[in-house]
Amino acid sequence: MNHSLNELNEIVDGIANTREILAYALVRRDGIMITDGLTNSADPKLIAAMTVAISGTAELATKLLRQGRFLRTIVECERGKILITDAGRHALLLSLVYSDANLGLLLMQLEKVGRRIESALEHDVLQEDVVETDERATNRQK
Amino acid sequence: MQASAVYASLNRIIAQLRSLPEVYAVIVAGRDGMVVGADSSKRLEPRMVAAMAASIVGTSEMAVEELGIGRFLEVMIDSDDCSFIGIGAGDDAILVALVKRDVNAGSVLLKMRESAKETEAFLLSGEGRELLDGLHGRAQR
Repeated sequence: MNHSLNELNEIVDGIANTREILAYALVRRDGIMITDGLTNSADPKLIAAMTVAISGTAELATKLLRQGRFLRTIVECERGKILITDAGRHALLLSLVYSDANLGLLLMQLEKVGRRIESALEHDVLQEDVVETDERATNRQK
Repeated sequence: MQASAVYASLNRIIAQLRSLPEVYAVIVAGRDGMVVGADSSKRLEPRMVAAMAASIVGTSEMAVEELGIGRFLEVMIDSDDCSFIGIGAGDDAILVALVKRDVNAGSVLLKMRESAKETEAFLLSGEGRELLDGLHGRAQR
C-alpha cells in the first residue's frame, strides 16, 4: 500500500470516528465513489452521482449569479443534515450529520479534512500520471 | 417577473422577507422552475434563480430520500459573497432568498420558515391556485 493510500485511510478513519458524523462518502468529481461509510440501505453509486449533481448545480448557480467562489452545500432534513464540502480539485466529501450538530465547529473540521484529502489525492494523481507516462513510453518503444 | 399586483398577499410575504437588511433577493419558484413571484435587484435574473432552485431542491430531495433521513426541509449554498437559501413552500413551490455572508443566518432562516408557511397557505388558496394555473397555462402555450 502506498503512502497516499495510507494517508487517505487515516483521514477517512478520522471522519468515521467523529461523533457528529453519521455517514460519509468521498466522491470523485466525475461521480465515481472513492470510499464511503454509508448505511447499508443507501446505494453508494446513487449517492455518488447525487453528490456530484447537487454540487455541480450549486457551483453553476454560484457562478451564474456571480457570487464569488463556491464553498459548500448544506441540505437540512427532518432527521439530519447533509454537508457537501470541497475536497480539492478531484473530490467532494459528503457528510451526514445529526440535526443538532455544532455546524460551525464541524465545518471548520471538514475544511481541514478537505485540505488533507486534496493533498493525498494530488499525490495519487501525480503518481497515476507518472505511471501513464511510463506506459506510453513503453508502448512507443514496442 | 413580479407576481401580479392582484396577488397582494404573495407580494406582501415577499416584501416582508426582502425588507430584512441581510436579504437582497427573494424569489418564489415553482417546483418546475417557473417564477411565481420575485423581488430582487436588477442585475439578478429571477428566472435563472428559479430554475437553479428547482434543480438543486429536486436533487437534494432525492438524496434525502435515498439516505432515509426524513423529509427535505431546506438547502443552503455558501459562496464567498452570499448564501443561497431554498426552503420548500408546500408541494408546489420553493422560497429562495439570497442572503449576505457573515450575518446572522439563523434569524433569517427563522423568518424564511415562517414566510414559507405563509406562501404554502397562499398557494393552497383560491388565489394561489389561480396564479399557478395561469403560470402553467402560459408555459404550455
